[in-house]
Amino acid sequence: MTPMPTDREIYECVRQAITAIRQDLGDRLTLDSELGQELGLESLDYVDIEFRLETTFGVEFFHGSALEKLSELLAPRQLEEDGLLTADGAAVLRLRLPEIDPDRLRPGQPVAGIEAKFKPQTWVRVVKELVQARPQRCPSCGSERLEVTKPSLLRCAGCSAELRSPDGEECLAVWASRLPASLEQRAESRTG
Amino acid sequence: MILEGKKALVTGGSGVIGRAIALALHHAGAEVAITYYRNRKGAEETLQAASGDQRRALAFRVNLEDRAGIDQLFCEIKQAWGLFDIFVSNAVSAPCRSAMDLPLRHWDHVLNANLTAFLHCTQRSVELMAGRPGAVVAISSLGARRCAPGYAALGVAKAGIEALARYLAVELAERNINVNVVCPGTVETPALNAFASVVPDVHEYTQSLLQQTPDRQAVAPDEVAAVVTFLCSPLAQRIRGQTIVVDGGFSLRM
Repeated sequence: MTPMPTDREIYECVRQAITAIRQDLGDRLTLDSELGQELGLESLDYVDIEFRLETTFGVEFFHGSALEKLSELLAPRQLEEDGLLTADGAAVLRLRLPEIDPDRLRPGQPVAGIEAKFKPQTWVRVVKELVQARPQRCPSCGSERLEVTKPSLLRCAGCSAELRSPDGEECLAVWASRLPASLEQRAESRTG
Repeated sequence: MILEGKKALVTGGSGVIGRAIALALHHAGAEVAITYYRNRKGAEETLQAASGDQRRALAFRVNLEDRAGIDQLFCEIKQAWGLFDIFVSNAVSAPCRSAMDLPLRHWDHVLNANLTAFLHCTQRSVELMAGRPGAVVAISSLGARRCAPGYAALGVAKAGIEALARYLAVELAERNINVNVVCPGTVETPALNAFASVVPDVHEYTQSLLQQTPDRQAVAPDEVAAVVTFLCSPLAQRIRGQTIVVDGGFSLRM
């Protein structure tokens, strides 16, 4: 198994993926730059950047609406109403996107355009989550020599078995399954 | 069944029109494979619906802007099927932006992911048709000939697809592979939401398009799929290089 990349190594790949399509950004790009509103990246650019990161790290992002998926997973909690973030929606997103200033994720904000607040740090965190979720050893032969063959697919060098690695949707579901307790804590700290 | 024993690949099989095409080909007897890129849930729904009668549908995740990915796709299809008979180029990827606001990187993306991908996939498909009769159908849109808001890049790519289909039809006629294009009018799919960035109200915009259609009806995905199925069948053997408009008469009006 290849060693876990460091945050710095992941960021370097994120930086390369962004500057491959926006060479003009150069020194303006930092771990904390806001991609949409500050640097002018658009959803089609995100598709390109995510493809490059998926190829580099052998991971598969979740490409749907994370808020919609989280609404399904956390039902009956309502995260958006009429296209606007609810209090629960803002609280969940603040936990999911800790790199974004909480003041930028307030109840009543439009759901559309949240992607524009992403930072390189967002992808560093998500890539790390996906890489960490990979199986560490082959369940058939116990070998730790697992090679990435495709995004979310590994092959055991010991017995040639194919293993699936959790993708972005599955990682999001695992994250959400651990969420309710922390959400309650958050609610308590607000009232306390 | 008119396509019994045939194998068909449909790109963009996770969306509404691609799913309707994959299912129509399946119901006509073909074994079906689809591609998808971002909409895995949609691809799974298509797979489930297009499997049965010992015919298991296949799904491949591929970014059609990635040429190595396209080559890999056809390697995997060759492994799974050996040869195949029908290629339907349906996938679309484009931002909704006016020509003067379009960053050149987005222009490149649209031409690569739509027009170049059509050529590349057809070249690889014809290799796997290996001298057998076959059919290639591309999906275009009225934006190839008329102007829709924010549609400049995709309109040009679609116009290119229609032109390329004519050349391919001539080149591939001797191999008994017919190439045609289906050009749907207004089909009510989530893709219409892309116009939200260029029109004040997507619903009103869609209604205005329907008002211009003689029977005021949207085109159903199944109606597009039926024409694609016909063009893939032996009944359409003498139709080559044509763009068949399925728009309920929308484009007839001045």
